[in-house]
Amino acid sequence: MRTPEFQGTHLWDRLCWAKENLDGVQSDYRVIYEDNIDECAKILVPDPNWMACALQGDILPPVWVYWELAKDEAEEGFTKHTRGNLLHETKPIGPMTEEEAIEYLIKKDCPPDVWQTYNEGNRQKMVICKKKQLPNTREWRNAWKINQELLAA
Amino acid sequence: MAHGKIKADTLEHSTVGSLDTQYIVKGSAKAWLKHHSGTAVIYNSFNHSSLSDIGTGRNQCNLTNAMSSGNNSCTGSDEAGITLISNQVGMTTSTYSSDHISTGGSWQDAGNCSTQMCGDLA
Repeated sequence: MRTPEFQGTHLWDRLCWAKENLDGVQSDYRVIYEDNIDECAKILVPDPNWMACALQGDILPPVWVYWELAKDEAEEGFTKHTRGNLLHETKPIGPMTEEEAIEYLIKKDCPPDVWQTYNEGNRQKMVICKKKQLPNTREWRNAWKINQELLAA
Repeated sequence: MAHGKIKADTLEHSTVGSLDTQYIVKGSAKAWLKHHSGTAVIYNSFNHSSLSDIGTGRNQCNLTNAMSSGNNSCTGSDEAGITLISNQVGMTTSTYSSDHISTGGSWQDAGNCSTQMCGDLA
């Protein structure tokens, strides 16, 4: 199915179209990241409907749009977005592979100080793995950390 | 695909009255999510890009179409009965948290977690 020409269409309306026309895609990828040394590792799971949009292409805005909105929100005195039109008027990004979609998602939903410097310093702060590589049980969940020895092997 | 468009400010029923369409635009949920907090499995959703399992009973939910401001109304529930919204992660225009606690007051993983976000879209 071809994606309609969506540039200029409200992003929410595009998501409505995708919900009606695309089947969700459950990704097997998981992104493990640590953004606070005092907290456990966090696990990012892609949304199936979002992944379907990413694979289909021409629905989602380029990731830099989210960075611009995040910049606005970080400013002192922010009350509401005044550049939300970037989401709707910027030319949508084309089809991605599942791996490219995960990379996009990391840059959208993981803290920038994690993905920008994930392999610098004395421990790796982020890793992409498959679901089956996660522990089988939730035991000691709040103490989970990225296994640095496994990464070095 | 052709995009038909009906523009109307009011919907009127033949006998029971009329309704301004702004009630629908402003009053309907802008995002919803059904998930398991422990496995972070997403059963079904709308307007979410991802879900982060950030610890026992705690999830951060990320939106695709951000909200206009961080002052939104978000509610949730789970099969255990107690869900807190945005307890651990402050609500932003594009994220909120769905946290689940036991009756004893500690975090606990829960199934059948559902959340709905109302507010204005960016």
